[in-house]
Amino acid sequence: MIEGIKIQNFRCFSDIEVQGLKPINIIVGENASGKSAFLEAIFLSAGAYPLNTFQFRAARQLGSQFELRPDSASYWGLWEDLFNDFDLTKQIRIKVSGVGSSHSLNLVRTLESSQTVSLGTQPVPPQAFPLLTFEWERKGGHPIRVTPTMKGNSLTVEVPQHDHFPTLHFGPHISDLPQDNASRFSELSKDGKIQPVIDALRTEFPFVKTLSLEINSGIPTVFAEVEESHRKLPVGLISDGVNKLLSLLLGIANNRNGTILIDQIEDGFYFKKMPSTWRVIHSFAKENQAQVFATTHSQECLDALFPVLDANEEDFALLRASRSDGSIKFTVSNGRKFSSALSQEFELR
Amino acid sequence: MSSILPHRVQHFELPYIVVCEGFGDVCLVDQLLQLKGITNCGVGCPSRTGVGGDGKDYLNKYLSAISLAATEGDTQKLQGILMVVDADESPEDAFDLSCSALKYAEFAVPDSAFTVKAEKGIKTSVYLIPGKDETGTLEHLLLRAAYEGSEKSQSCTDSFLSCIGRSPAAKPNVMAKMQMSALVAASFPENPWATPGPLLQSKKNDLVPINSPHFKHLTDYLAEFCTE
Repeated sequence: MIEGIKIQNFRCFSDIEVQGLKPINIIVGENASGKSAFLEAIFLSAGAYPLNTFQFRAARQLGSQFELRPDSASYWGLWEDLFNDFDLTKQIRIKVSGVGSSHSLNLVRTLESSQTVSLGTQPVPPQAFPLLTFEWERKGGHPIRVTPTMKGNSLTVEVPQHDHFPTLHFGPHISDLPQDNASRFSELSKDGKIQPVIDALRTEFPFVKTLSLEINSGIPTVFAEVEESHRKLPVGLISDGVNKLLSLLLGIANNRNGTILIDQIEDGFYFKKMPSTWRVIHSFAKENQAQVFATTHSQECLDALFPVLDANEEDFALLRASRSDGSIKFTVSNGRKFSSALSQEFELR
Repeated sequence: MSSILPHRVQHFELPYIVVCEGFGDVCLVDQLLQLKGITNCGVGCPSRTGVGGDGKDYLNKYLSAISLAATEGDTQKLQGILMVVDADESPEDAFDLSCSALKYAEFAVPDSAFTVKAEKGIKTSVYLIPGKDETGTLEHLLLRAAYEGSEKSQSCTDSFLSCIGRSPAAKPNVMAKMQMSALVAASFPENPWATPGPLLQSKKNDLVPINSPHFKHLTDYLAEFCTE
């Protein structure tokens, strides 16, 4: 479990340290206070996977496609927004500490020049420019270095097999693809571990009788057998709430001892479902020893958390993100204070 | 300007906070702060309408919530918490209850009522109403101010309660509340069903003079506590 994290020169964070993290961490704060960036830092720090940064672009609605040219501007255009204040001269450092999860990631602008070969109708002399290296190290392990390079108009990333920290990121605006859930479902099913997921989903949505894996237009998809329907339906077709909870449960079960990052957890859930949804997520995460980080802007969502929070104060922490004088602060409060503030109707959002 | 904290507290800008049990105490303290020109202190009381909490737990939760709201990053804006609570029938029990709430919220616990304890840059104190070495409630203090120079009022409310057969059956603290209610109903036409809170906040309050000498000890204590 992650107990603390130190982030330097990443996104809006010039230098921030957050300690006192718990199994379930709720992150609140106004817009542009660093909530999503905090999740991104945890996600990125889980291994040496440069391509994960592109998931952020999609989550932030910056588009998931780009046109590359074999030059420095095009190459660094992929990465420069990761650097605080776009300052490429400083290293990005993300250091995570905790029980069984001490690891670090440095993003280093390598000083060695790299050659690229230009392709195209117009002959252009090869350019040389610095590259970005992802240096990842798990405590007691060997450092892993991955440096994306340009080959013509293509980005080449060769990632060696390494023992990464299991982490899953759910962005606010994108749903997991059907095949993502299908793949997780299949893995659990093969190990005989899918039934707890179905049971947990059914506690919240009892009209779902059971789940199975089917092929839908050639794509493996999780289907549900639901009451009063003569045929199975793709889960995504039933409702956003059912689909989202299934994604979270599959993610948690597939990331045992890992971390689940959920940006804007309230999206997709009917407000009356939120208290029991929290109860399911809490108990399922606890069973699977998975740590949860969830952001929210919703008072209804926080109020709905109260019963499970009040009964399990030691499992929770509240992270309040704020921005003042251009710098970001995270204030961590324990579950008791969090529960008290909710019961006393203090403004936490 | 009112010192009463907003319903939904987000964070504290003022360095001192007076925490009361109920809205009546809040309104009295607010008026005394205004009278004395003390502007660096807010006053509030627990909510009983939130999503959770029960009876005795409210004060614990309120102080704990204050502890959360008073901290931002590594900045601690709060410098002092003064608890103003009724002594009721046992000042010792009232003090112990206040101390357990302070302890629950991880604040310093004073050695005795009317003394100040400081820890980690925050001082705490417990003031028992109606005053030092006394039993009683807010209503006792308000009645003293209301009856001052008007002995007739006191004998009238006593007679009224006696007349309808309710006196002296009730306990002294309950009697004080009944007398206060009767007095407000009979002399505050703006809002005859008012509790002490709205009465004290009203510009037309001529029943309980805020500058009464009976409030001097509390006023002086507030002023001294809120001195940096």
